[in-house]
Amino acid sequence: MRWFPAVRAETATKVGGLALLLVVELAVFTVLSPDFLTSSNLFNVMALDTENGIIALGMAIVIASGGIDLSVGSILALSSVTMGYAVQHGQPVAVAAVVCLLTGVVCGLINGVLVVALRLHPLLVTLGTLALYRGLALGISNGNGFSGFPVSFEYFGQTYIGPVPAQVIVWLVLAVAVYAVVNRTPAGRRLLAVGINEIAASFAGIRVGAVRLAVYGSSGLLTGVAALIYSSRVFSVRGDAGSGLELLAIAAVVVGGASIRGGEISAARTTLAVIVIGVIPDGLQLAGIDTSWQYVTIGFVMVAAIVINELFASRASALWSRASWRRTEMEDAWTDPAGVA
Amino acid sequence: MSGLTATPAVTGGRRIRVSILLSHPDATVLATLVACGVLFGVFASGFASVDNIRSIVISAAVIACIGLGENLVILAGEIDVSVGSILALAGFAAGPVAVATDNLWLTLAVAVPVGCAAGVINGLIVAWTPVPSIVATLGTLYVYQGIALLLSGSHNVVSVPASASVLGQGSVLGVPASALVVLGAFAVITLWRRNTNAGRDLIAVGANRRAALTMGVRVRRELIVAFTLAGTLSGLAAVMYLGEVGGMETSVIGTNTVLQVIAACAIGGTSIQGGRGTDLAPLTGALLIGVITSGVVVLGVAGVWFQFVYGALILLAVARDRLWQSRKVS
Repeated sequence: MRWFPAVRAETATKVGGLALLLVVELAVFTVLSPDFLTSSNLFNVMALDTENGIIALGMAIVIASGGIDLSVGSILALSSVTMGYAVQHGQPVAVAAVVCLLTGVVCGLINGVLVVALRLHPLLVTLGTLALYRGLALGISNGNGFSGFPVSFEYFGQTYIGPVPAQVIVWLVLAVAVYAVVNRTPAGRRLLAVGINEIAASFAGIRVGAVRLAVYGSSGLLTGVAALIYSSRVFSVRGDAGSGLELLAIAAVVVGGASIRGGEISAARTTLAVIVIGVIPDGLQLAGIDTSWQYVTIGFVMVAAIVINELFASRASALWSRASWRRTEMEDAWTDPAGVA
Repeated sequence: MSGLTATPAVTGGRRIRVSILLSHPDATVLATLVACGVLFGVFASGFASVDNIRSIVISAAVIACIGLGENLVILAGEIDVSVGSILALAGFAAGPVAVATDNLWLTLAVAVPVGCAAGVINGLIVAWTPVPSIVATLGTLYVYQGIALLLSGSHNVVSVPASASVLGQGSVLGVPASALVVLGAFAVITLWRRNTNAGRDLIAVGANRRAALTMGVRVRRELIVAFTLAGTLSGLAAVMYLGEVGGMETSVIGTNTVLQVIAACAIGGTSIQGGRGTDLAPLTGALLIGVITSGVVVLGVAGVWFQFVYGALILLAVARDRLWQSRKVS
């Protein structure tokens, strides 16, 4: 909707708010530790954030469609475990990598089918598949880790191009791809239409079910990519990997200023938000602060980001901010009880 | 088929009674619960023993207790994902008190107000800011989780003495004390929801907020009350948990609890979109999860496959109502 100046202003201010938050964080951590603001440390942080960043891109798509995916952490575990299983049974690394991506897509599509065919709330579907996929991952791996990969497996998560970790480039390319698809293609329009008003979208001739399937499938695929990079980086696979990732990904999307009710997406803001959250553990550790503080800090940064977003958003364009629905709805009902206006 | 569908009144007295029973919102989950109980009782030897049923009830009590509060929040059309963190926070605040004093009342006096305060904060944020509840409580989830971790100093609470463990391990006339407390809380909430204006209005807030506002329902107060009760009951559940397990591990500080609690409410039949559901839902849901969990273990499913079966059953239980409805329509 870039032809609405108000929306563009809102986007610009939200990106500005996040950038401001990041600058403040960088300044604080630089003061606390001289080792923080070095290129090697920053690239290291980016490399560690890559998996969460890629998963958050998928989560942003799901949330934009008006859904939610709690099963991403379990999909990550299942994809990496099936990849380990393939390698263990004599498959070459390339085949195993394809298996990993396919597992992610299939898991995502199963979520989509359950949401579309059974018309169940995505929160409940993915709550169930969260346990289901995790259980499969634990069952297939028999509860054990596997790390007998050939050295060539390092390719996916430990390659450097100059000083830059290769996976960071993959992450940024995927972010640009998501941006392009969402903002420049009919598919992106359909996605946002479904997220804004599902019924109106179906009356406009959009096949809502197909859009939803594609949405959960892409979330699964992106999680599969993250699983590949993650397994290669830590060079082992475990059935209990990635638990709690779903909340971190949702947090990133929300800190990025998207409405949890759907209809909004910004690949740039989501990516920025992942970095805003991701530098916290590293910065605290370098500053020698007890890592117990990291959750409190993440929580407060989250709240700060949301409040900043709300402030900027409502100043810039109260009309277009779907996030402020509750306030406007209450004010409407109080000032105009009959609902005439 | 015809005996199970909603039959017109003219077809005979017996069928009417069956259909009225089946149309009660708690009917399908209770039927599932009984069916699962009977099936496991027949096929899994050792399932129907008094000891096993007791342990099912005790382990379900913590989830049911938190669920009673979460259910109110869901009925009001919101969601609270921070209850697991509140459990950990109250547990780590009250755990050292329990260990030091061995006094149940002092433990409660710490845990319940801590839970209550956390709930009030959630309620105030949701009621007075435009931030959606899933986002607001995701933020407080991390904050409470962090404070719990700081309180713990990365050490588990261990060996809670006997008198402070009464809520988790004691029993009155053979009935676990935790079950009695949960039933008491259930009775209070049911009475509140049926007999007070504020209680009756709660469901309107979830079903149609605009209509509720127009009718003069004090929506903000309803939301704050719901979140406060969720926090308070999570604090109470922390004392049960301390008693049941005999301590509090830092590994509890995770997201597992809240997912189980939401699953319990949904399995019990409360609509996740709000405005529809019963007070009994979290109790039956938590019991069903407990029965399935225990049944699968007694049946001897290998430990690693357990979570797979559990997930499949959650999906079945959640899909149950939907499949049921489509049968009625056809």
